Amino acid sequence: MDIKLASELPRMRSMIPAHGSARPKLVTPGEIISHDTSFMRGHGTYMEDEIQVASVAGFVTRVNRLITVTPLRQVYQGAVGDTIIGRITQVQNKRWKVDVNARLDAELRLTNIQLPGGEQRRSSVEDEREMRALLREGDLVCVEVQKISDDGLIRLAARSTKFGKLSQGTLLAISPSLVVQDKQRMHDLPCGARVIFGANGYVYITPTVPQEQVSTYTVNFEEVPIEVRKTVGRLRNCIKLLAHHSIMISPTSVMSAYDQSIDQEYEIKDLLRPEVMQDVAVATVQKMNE
Amino acid sequence: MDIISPEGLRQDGRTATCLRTISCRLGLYDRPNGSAYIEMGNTKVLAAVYGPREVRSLSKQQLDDCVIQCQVSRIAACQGERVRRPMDPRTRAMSLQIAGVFQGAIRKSKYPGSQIDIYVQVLQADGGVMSACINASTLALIHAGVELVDYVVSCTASMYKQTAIIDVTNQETMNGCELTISLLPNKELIVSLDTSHTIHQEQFEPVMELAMTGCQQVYESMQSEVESYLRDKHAIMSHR
Amino acid sequence: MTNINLSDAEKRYIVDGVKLGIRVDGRESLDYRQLEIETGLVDTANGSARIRLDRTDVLVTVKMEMEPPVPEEPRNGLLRFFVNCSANAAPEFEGRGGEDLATSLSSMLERVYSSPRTLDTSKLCVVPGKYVKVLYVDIEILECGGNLFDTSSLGVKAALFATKMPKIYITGEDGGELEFSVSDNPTDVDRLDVSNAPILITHLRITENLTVVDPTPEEECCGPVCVVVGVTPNGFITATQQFGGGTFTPQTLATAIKSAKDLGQKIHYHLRSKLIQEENNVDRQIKGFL
Repeated sequence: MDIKLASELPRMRSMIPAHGSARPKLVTPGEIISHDTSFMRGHGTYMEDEIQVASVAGFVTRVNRLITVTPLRQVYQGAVGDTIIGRITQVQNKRWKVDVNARLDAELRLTNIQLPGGEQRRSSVEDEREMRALLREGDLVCVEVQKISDDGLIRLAARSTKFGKLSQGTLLAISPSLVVQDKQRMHDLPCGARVIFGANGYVYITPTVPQEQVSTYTVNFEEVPIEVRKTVGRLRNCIKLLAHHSIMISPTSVMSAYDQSIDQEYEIKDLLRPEVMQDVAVATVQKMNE
Repeated sequence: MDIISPEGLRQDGRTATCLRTISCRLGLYDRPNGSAYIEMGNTKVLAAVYGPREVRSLSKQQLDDCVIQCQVSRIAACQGERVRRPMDPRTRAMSLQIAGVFQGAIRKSKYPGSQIDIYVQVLQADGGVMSACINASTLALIHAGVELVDYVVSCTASMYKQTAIIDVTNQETMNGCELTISLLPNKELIVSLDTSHTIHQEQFEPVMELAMTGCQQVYESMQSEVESYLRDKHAIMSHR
Repeated sequence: MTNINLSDAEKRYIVDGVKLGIRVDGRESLDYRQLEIETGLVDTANGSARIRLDRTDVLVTVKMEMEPPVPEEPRNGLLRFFVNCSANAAPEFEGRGGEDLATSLSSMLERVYSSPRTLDTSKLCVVPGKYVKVLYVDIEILECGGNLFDTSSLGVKAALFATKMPKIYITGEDGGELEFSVSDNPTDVDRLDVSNAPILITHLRITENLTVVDPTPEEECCGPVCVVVGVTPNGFITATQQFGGGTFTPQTLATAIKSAKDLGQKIHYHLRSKLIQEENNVDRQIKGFL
């Protein structure tokens, strides 16, 4: 066991020199962003007396006329078409409640999943009774945001074989702000594992499954071999250390950290130590700056 | 013992209008959505924010409103005498008051049907505990990315003989009044005011004004911490 | 200890990993995570320590009071343990939610310190039969990241090590009542001899014949039962208790206790050298929570 005194540990602050690129404007709650009324107000802002004011602390981004402020940490806001990961919290009448790291539990209706047996058949009374056999409390699902209702409830759908119950693997929860926005969310990384970068900040690492074996609601309980576990474990620790240092999570940054950790000959469990975590994080950023 | 020496200095060497050193930090913990820590002199407070998230008890759920709850507790060794219970009627009253303060500052319309919990832990109490709790909560809410109309900043002041004194310690409030005020600093609006012990009406205004200037200084310290926190992180966040 | 709900697939992945000797984060079954420690950070206490183990954060404070002794032991001081699971650590602890856990932990500590071999409480006697020093040891759980028992016991030992009790002098007698004066000189203090103070080592049962130490919250979900062993630096076992509903085979239990003893002795040695190192660092800046 390793014991460190608090005074021996590295300070996290300013470990990586600021990047040369132009910095966007920084605002904190209550601060005025703009007096120009022609701008549209996005997330993290509000209007008061024709003045646009920030409601969160973050950097101002402007896309055309839309101004938004993105905080470093936040709950998932939801956007139609996002691929996300959720955990079933309740089985209700013809629907599941799903924790998706949002301000309300999302809803997955029985009619919105592709039932086992292939084609999009109508759900029967039997399916209703057997809902728990499909998905029960604690199960992880990979789903798509179908709709966001007026009251903010996120409605989910899993209408193709790429969605459904997740099989063996490990979940990490990070801030949605740290996940790079990308259409493609499921990546079979070259190191031999699949990572699903849920847009809601839930990241799932799982052994790569050959395409023909995909089954949406049954889980393969076969033992995962050691070599694959090593890959999954290293990826897990790499994603954790990147998130810990607020480095954007993308297949590129994750693979870069993964390769760095191997190049520097760190064992998987070494990546749990703060000084090693910082070391790999710094190396990853430097590598990506090149 | 005089609270203000003939030279105009207090026990800890401050002048009447000088705040104690403020140090704060955002982001201590992973599990809560937001967390922060603040030291105002020897008063030290930790805050954690959970939410916005699904309301857990159905009896509290209101479809068109956001439930904001606060719970203040104290560690056993937070003051000279050991505290036997982490929560007592006094901390419960403080909890309610803090929850009330943030009703006005959180943009509740963004979170209908959700719940936000603020948990505050007093680690050391040496005057201005309520203020420190509010300031720590604000920082934790900002860290959690909860939408706020403005910061809520708080500061105390008191009167000693004919002099108004700011940010008072336990010792200094022994016989005098303690006025705690919380502001939305950018709007210059008061969200809470409470005083204890008697105060002469004529003295009320100077004490309140002093506390308000204190709030603006607290705001500056807190804002610069939030900014430097973001700056440090942003250098890294831009690598997409 | 906190209610996370894992899917069967995730549990399977964790359990198989332990079987194969590689845990999800890359550790082996007897590996601890890195521990971070600081003492003397609460000025208002006679002794204090903060221990962090990954996400677990425990603050221990010691406060001395003068009280009459218990009639059975008129010449012995007392140690009293109180645990508070604050809602900061987990919202489930709000109200009375953390009480069961707090009671288990405080009673375990009380038992493990009750043996006369662990801490000589006769040194806490001021006036036999009338006044003894009572040490209130308060354990505040600030964040929960698994393995609370071991972390708390290490925190208790560190806080007791750092405890400085002002010297008490009997100055006179007034009508049968003794008068005391308490020294306010910061160097005129009594210290405790913690060289035999025990720590707790927890083995979590994963399968019939496999246990792990220092479990993460996810691993704690997979093991319904654990055995907590109090170990002194000399390798004595001062108390053991099984927590949770489940069974051990006699062999597994025996192995777990033997391994707890070996691990405990190593950790004791390490902790002691770190505490001495911290004490000898005269110009140490207290980091606290900043």
